[in-house]
Amino acid sequence: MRHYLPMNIRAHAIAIAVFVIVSLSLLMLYSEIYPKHAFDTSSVFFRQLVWAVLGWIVFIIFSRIPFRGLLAVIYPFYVVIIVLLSFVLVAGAARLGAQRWIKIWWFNFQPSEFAKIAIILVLSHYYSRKAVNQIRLNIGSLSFLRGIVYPFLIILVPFGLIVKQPDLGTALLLMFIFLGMAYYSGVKMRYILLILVVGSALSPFLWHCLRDYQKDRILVFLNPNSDPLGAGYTIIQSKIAIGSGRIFGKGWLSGTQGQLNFLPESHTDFIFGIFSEETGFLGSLFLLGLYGVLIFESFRIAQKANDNFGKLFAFGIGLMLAIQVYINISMTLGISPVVGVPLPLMSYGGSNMLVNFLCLGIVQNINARG
Amino acid sequence: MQNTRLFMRIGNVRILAGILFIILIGRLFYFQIIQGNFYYYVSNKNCIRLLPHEGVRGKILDRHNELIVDNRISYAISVLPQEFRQNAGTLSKLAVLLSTPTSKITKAIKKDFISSFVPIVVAKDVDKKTAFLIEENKFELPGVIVQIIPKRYYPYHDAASHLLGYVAKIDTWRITKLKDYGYKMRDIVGFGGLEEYLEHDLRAIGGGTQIQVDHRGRVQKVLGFREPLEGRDVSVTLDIKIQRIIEDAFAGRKGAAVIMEVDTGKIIALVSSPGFYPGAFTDSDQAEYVSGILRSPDSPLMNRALSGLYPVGSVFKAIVAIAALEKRKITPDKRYFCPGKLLVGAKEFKCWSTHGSQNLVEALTHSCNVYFYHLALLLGPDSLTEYALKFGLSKPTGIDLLHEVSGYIPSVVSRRMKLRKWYDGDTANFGIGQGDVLVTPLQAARLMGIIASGGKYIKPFVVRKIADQEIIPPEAAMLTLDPATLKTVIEGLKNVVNAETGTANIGWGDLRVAGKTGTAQVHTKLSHGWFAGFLPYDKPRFAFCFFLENTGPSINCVILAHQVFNKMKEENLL
Repeated sequence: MRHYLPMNIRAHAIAIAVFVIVSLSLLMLYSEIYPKHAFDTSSVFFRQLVWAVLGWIVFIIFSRIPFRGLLAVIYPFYVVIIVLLSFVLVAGAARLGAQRWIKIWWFNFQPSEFAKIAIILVLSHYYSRKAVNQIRLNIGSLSFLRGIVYPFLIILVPFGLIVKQPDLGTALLLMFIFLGMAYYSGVKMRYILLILVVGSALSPFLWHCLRDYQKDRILVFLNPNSDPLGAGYTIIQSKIAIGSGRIFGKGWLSGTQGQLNFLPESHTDFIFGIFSEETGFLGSLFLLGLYGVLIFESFRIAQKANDNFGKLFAFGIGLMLAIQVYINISMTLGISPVVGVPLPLMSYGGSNMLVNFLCLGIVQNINARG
Repeated sequence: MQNTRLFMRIGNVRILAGILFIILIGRLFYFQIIQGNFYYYVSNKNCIRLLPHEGVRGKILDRHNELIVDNRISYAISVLPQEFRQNAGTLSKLAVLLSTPTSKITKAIKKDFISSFVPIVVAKDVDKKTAFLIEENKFELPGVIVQIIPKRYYPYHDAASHLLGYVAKIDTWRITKLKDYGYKMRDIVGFGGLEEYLEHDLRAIGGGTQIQVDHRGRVQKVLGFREPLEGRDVSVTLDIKIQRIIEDAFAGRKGAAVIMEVDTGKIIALVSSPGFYPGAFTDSDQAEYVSGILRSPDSPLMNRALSGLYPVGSVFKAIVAIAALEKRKITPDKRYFCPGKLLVGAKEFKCWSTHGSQNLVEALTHSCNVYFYHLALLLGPDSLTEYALKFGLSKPTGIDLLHEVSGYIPSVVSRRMKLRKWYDGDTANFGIGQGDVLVTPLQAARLMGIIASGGKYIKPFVVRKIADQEIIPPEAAMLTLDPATLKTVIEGLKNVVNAETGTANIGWGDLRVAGKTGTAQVHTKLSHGWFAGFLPYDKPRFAFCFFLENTGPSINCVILAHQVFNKMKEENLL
């Protein structure tokens, strides 16, 4: 398990995987807009290219500076994020029935993306200190109060603000990250199960809090053919795109589902659909393999790190990537409801791109420093 | 180290992540490898459309290459419901251009909706100006399509409708029969007449353009094109002018008429009345007219000239006369006395008048029943049957049209098969063409053709050319008949029309017609009238038969023929 990659490659495995994924993303965005104007400065291809370059700069910076230096800025950063999330609710730009963006210059800044990293940072900091204290006091493991309630109260404000936007996907993602990190930190399994049981028991009540479009998505997930030209259309077209790729794919620039606009959101949440259409089963396996490298490398780094904060952070990032990849791809395959979760480093979107580069830069840093 | 006790659970998370990856790979395997071909097909169906180009059905031309069935371009306006529905403004704009109420368009869409990608016709036979106007404004009318559809056009409206037949949407009976030849539901095929008989030649095979479209149905690129195959043109022996003269003369009365060339068997006119307008069957606006035709007690769709069976009456006397002369039972000079009736067995058989002493030519001229009772009794029923069959009765003439019937000639044998006896009275009735003697007007005309041509057993035909292929009928066989016999009978037929006392003499001038009248009694209804013959009698060119159903004595028919031939002469068509 420890030696699934040779040493010299392992040191750079994350960087290589990130580079290949981002390149594939650019190839796909080029293909998606290929019949139109690829090199128009307002095109998604061009913008993503700019974000990829910026992302690399961020990656390099954060993989060089000592990660423990971050500890000093965690809480100020956290406060800034809360302010931005509040601001977005008051003055943000509404799109597709949700307020998630702040328009800065030509860039639609999405604070909820940055909230992910803020929350992982805060939880890593909390659990790394609490856990060590517990051991020192020789109590064994964290109590329900210290393991679940306190950390939940810490993240409650940004979490609440994201639910309010509403951004169901990100909220769910944060909940899973929180539970995963608690689990990793040694919180008793029964506490975590309790939260999951309470959560599912509350779901009928939560159903009423959902917006109509969210209800539609869940109903359509249960039966995509119930509304083939409305909400179910995307899932059907996505399945057609993926299935029609067969083993070897239709070839780069030769996909029809994305280029002819049959598949909506094909450059953002459903980019896996057009990728799979053009590269087929083999290409999809290759991409999953690259995500596997990122995720399992993060877990390996968490395992071998000596620093508790670093351990928790690397684990949190691995978990975040795993959950995002799973939710995104399973939704394009019609095995989970359509929630707005992008495919990390593939989907078009500057905030998401930057956050992923930043997180993986820190993970790379943890790797290097142990 | 303390940390190792703390963060032990990463192995479980790895396993969980691994399971999730396996789920995704399994699902991908299912979609891309197991179901891959299906989804590949669906994705092509998504974006590949076929724009049909209708081929043009073959035209039909008469003997002078006059177009009698042509094709005209018709414009139809269709809408793509998916796109149309998204633009409320389009509906009102289209309604204004078509000058129809919006409700009519929405109703049509609702009625014919199949799928949001299938165009629906909302207006048919739109005039050229409107069609061009819509085409020019197509960017303001998303989802509106102008289709060009070739349509049957009949320059002479309802002329020769039975001979031509009509075209209509294929029915279930025909589709099961024609499926293997590439016919599809909603194809237009021929019904009746030449349209059905020559469907294989007239048929056009549609082509199309394969295009790639985007999600809104907009053309992205052309993938392929197949040229439609045009149908073959068909030329017929008909003279549309003569056909029209006869149809006009019928003036809606029930009946039939045939004119054919004596030497060749070419059908010059083939009339069945009442007729119908063939164009109505592809015009949904005329549904009422069509259902009226289908339900009419006069059965206007039946071609009476070759599908109608009628007792032939005195026309049959020509055959009886020939039989008697050929069998040497009498000489032309043989005289019988007509007291107005003849006792056969215990029953009295009447003549329609009291003619006194008659020879054969006079008996034919006056259509004397008594004379022919005597001939029939002399000949016996077997000889009568023999000669009727010899002149082509009781079997189809073999004309190149569908639904021809064979007719019926009684015989002693067939009577015995029904376990019934043949009486002398039956022989007498047979001799004047009454009773069971059933013929079609076409058979009657052909019978006269055989007499006029000196015994040429001609086969009538209608189609003379398909595309560039001339159709040459086989040389007709000759019946072995004594020329003297024919001379005598023709003399009789000539006198029918031209002698002072002839039954058809209504002042024919120099038309030089020869013929035989016939009035067939019909139980409880008015009798059928016949007039069959040929002209000119000295050098026969046309054989003819005029028949009027349930309109009383034959004189009506003679007047009809007179009217027709006069008009033909006026227009220099004789």
